[in-house]
Amino acid sequence: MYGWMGKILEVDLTKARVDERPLPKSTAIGYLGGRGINMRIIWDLLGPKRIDPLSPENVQVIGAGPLIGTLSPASGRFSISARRGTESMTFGDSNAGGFWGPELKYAGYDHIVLRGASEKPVYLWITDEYAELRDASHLWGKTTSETDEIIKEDHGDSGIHTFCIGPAGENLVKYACVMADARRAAGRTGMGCVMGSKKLKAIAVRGTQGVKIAKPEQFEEALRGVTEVFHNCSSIENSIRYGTLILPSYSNPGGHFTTRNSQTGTFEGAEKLLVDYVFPRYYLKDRACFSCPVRCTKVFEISDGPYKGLRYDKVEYNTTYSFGSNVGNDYWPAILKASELCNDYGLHVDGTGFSIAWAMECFEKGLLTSEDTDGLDLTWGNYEVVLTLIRKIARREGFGNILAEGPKRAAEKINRGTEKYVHSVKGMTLYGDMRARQGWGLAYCVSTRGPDHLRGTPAIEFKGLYASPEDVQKELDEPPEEVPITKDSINPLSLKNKGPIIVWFEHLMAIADSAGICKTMTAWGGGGLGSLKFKEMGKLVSAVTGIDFSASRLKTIGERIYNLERAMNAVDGITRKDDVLPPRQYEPLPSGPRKGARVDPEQLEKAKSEYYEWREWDVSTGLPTRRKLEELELNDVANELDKIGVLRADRQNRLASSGRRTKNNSGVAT
Amino acid sequence: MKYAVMVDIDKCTGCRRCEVACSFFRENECNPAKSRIHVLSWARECLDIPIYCVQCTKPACKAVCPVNAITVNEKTGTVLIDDDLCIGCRMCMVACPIGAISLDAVCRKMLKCDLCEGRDGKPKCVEYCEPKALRYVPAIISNVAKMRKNAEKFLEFAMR
Repeated sequence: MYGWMGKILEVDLTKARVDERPLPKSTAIGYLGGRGINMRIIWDLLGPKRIDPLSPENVQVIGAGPLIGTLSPASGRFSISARRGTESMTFGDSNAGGFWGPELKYAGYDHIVLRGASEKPVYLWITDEYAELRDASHLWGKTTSETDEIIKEDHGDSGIHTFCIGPAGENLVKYACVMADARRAAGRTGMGCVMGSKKLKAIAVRGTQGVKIAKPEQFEEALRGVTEVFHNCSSIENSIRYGTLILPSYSNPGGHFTTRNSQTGTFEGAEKLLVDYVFPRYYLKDRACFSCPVRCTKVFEISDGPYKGLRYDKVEYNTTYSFGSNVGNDYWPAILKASELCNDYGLHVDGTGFSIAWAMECFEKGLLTSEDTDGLDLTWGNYEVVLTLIRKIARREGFGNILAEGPKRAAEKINRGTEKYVHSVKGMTLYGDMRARQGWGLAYCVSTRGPDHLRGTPAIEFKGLYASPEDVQKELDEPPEEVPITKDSINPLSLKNKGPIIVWFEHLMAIADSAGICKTMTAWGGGGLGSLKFKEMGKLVSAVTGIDFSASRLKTIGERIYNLERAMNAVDGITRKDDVLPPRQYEPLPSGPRKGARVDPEQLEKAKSEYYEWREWDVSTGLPTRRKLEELELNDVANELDKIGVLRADRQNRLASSGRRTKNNSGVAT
Repeated sequence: MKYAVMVDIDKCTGCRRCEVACSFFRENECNPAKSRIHVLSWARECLDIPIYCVQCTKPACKAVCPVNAITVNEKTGTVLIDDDLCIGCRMCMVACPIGAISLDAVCRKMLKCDLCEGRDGKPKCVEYCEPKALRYVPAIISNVAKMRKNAEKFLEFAMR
């Protein structure tokens, strides 16, 4: 095989056994890699079975894609998925960069399947020649940085790459993440918690095998094309210069810089969190993930104040609002410190930040008092307390034990009307306020893993603020009957005509996650439509694998993955009724340039219907129809869903055909 | 003319694209283990430093080679290993003071940067270095940028 290494590592933690089996070519062609193949493996193992996320029955799969480890730009992103996550009520799926994914392939594997649970802490050690489970009692309790260092020292090899959990994962914090190279988080859906329940501390890899390229000349040509696209893409310039830290400069005036537990979308202290303030004071240099020309990793050093001497290189937009605006803090060095703590403890920043913000708002409203909070003063902006809470959450200490459950479960425990201040969808916390970017709101609603910026992200809706639909259509480079761009679809304050662009992005992201390419290089965030889309990714994957992956074929694969994910959620009873937004999103924004903006619940329901219709799904349940599943060669999935009575057999044909008509008509007409 | 690959440590992001480019173009596979350049990283210090053969004027590798497989191209100054003569004994690897020679364990041959001599264009590591931390410059001007940078301090002092 070219591109793929052709092997899956099977680890049974209960029996402490490690085996390998070949990666079936049909799976590789049908699901590409990474997230796609992860989902297929999980479905093949568990099918429509319902399981407890923390039981040994939960299957966790880690996967690299065909582009990972190659000269393709930003080709270091791998995915970790599970039948069930712990942060959201959906399956688990998260994605990380760094160098671990490529190293896994150099050791000869595309995927690792984790089953069962160990009695004692262990770590998985993978080399070219063998893979084995080793005792991890000396690593248990250590931070991710320490774990990374100890493993390298134990083996006497600084070229080892680690993917490990911190104390948060060990202590089953529901939103614990898994850290690659101690700096790159597979953040969302609680994959660190699931790994912790399996008592698997780390996966350390060292390999010296190469990824073989099927068509070297074609690959070189594709790379040249991609480099050209990259150099001509103006929106990537900001990513190169500032990484995601540029985003508050747009989101604050745009009214979606989530502030004080999403009370509003414009932060009065934002000025001190913007790049113009932060970079001259603290910026040192750039770093990057594997083979990445974007280099969005910025290194900072704090030269004064309480965190003097702190040098750290991983802080994102998420971290900025999570420990800045959303907790009312405008002291940037504390945000950098929070980032270091979360990464070291193995905590996902959004889950942590929103849990703390929820507690702070409840404290403000008097629903929580210092009696509940171990005497801590949870006043907005008290960054020292925020840092203390991060430590307490990771250790499940005192009040931290409640916050470790995430705001939804914490509110259920505390009650007293605190659930009103929970901002989550399907149990997972938001990625910022969406009253002033409603297409994102819809995307959050319908996303297969809960609300975030890495599934639907219709970033192009901001283009309507300065570009015409015709121009955007041209830049998108898709025929209007396939992805119609209208005035509404690129108006961030409208919920009309959003279905097509959300679906397009959902499939593009599924392909990026499955091929193994970072979304920063794709038409994502900042409206970077000039960047990699299906066509360019298709050229790269085709040259690497020697198999023809045209743009339309990739779109079908993206759709197949997305439908399989939705089917998996359907097993757990997740349907249209769960595609909802937190209550505050229906209230008007109280301040800022977008004051008054709100999501209209009726319009949202209409928009949801439009989205399901565009997907040719059953509009009443929001689930794939048998016809759709069969069209995507997911017949076996349809059969299994039928058995448990999830598919609505009686109506499916009629709905599927009307869906098709709608798709053709609604396009340009509206 | 003699050319050299120069590195600006401040600009190196540690992305290892140079390693992948080197192995892809020279060994037909994407594999840092078969690269002639290696990036070393220090996580806590947030530093990355590429290490590669700097084409010494008194190459220790050449001096110790038991089969005289290592020669110097007098015109370009490049130190070259003849794979046909090389017996893979690793003496050069031991002798190299900067650790710029490694062993391809599969093919049993020594890997050392030869500035892509005899190939078109710049060395591939330089071509694919997006932040331009690696530069391929005439050896005679390779340190000019550094000189200027320091001289500017003097200039500032003189203009006061």
